[in-house]
Amino acid sequence: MSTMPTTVSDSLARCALAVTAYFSALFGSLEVIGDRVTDAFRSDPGLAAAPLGEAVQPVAAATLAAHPVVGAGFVAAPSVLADRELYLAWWQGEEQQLLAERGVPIGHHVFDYTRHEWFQVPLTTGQRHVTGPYVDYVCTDEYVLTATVPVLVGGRMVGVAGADTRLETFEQLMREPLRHAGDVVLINAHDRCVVAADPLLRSGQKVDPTSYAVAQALPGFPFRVLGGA
Amino acid sequence: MAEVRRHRSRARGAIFAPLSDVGRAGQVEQRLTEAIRSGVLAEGERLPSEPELAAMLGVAVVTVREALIGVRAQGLVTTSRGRGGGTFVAAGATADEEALAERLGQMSRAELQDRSTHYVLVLAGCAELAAERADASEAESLRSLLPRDDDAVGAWRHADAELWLSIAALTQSARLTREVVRLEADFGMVARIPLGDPAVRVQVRAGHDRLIDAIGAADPDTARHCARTDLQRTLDGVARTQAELHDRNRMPRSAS
Repeated sequence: MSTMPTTVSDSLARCALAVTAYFSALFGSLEVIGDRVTDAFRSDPGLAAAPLGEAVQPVAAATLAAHPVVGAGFVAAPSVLADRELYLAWWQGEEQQLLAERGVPIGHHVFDYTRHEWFQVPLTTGQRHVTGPYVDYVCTDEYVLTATVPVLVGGRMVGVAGADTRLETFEQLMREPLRHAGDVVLINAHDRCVVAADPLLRSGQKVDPTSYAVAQALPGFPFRVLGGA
Repeated sequence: MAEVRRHRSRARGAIFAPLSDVGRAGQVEQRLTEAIRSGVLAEGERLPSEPELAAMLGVAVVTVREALIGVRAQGLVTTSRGRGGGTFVAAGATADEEALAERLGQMSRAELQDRSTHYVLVLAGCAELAAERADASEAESLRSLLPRDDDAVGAWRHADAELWLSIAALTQSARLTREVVRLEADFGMVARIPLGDPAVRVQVRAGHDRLIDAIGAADPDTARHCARTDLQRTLDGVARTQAELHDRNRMPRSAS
């Protein structure tokens, strides 16, 4: 189909370009969700869950329509809403179902999402992040990549805007860029394989970056592309 | 002869086909009841809509509706209409000791052994794979899920369930994780009956530490062994409790 890359750096560049293009576009939509949330808090500092949900719904729907994601929305930080300790204004599935509103009692461990990487990293670093691939047993029960951006109101983080991409979907998007790409592999911040040209390298598998000749960082993304073992 | 019989049974199957959906309403009701009683669906949580439940469970919407009537009659869910409405898990719907004992007493010994075998094998397999695939920081994050000494028994059971779900997720297999979610909904609460005893909690907690150490040390054999022996010990406790319940249930009849 397309010209076969001849060098490792060509393959790396193709992979890096595809990853950056996909997540840059997705982060763009997440910033829109974040802006909508910031506006809602600015106009009503004692914001409750229901009006927040109404504000987020159209932009979450637009995100679901614009990208091949299975879920999108906003997840509130503890105690920022007037009437809920924790809250997910999150829509998922083909029917864009609003995720069960978690009436989480304090001290109930099961649905406390705040310890998860997709929430913790934006909270502690103030940076956008992609978590995974990981099995999301809280929401989708799928093997996913979760993109999240911190949402700030007057310097205080009120939660994260995010979207889930199934790893299967991402793998399909990367199939063409990784075709004939030798041993090129995309790894996450934990040195785990996200997708690889090598069919025997499992997604989620630990990779030793030092065993590759070339490593290219993707500025602004928690990923690296490796090649030339 | 065999031909005729086969023909006849196929015809019977067709005649009785519509009834199978009626039976399914009972199954759906049972599934939802278990999920609520086990705490997998938390108090105040909104259930998926009727069409969504129907799609998820692979049954007709009317079947879901019928099942929900049963669940509602048990007082496990409440339904509100209009904006922000829906079906919610009722307060106080999660398991009490009496309901758990009743469930266990109704189960046959063979069923308990069968379910225990399945449960232990799947969870021990998850522990083994988690030790193979998780890194040290992921293993360490499991410790944050461990129940605290002063947690009430309900919180203790939830924490234990979430620990196992997290271990399943560390296998990086969505299917295996969904299987554990299903197992926990079906059987988790029964498997955790012995945790009502503080001495058992101390023992289980020590087992958690050993297991997380093995996962952190990337030692799959030890992780599997720990999971298997610790779960089996708790399930042996369940079997003894069941035997007592069966004995107690028999007594009034033999007395009369």
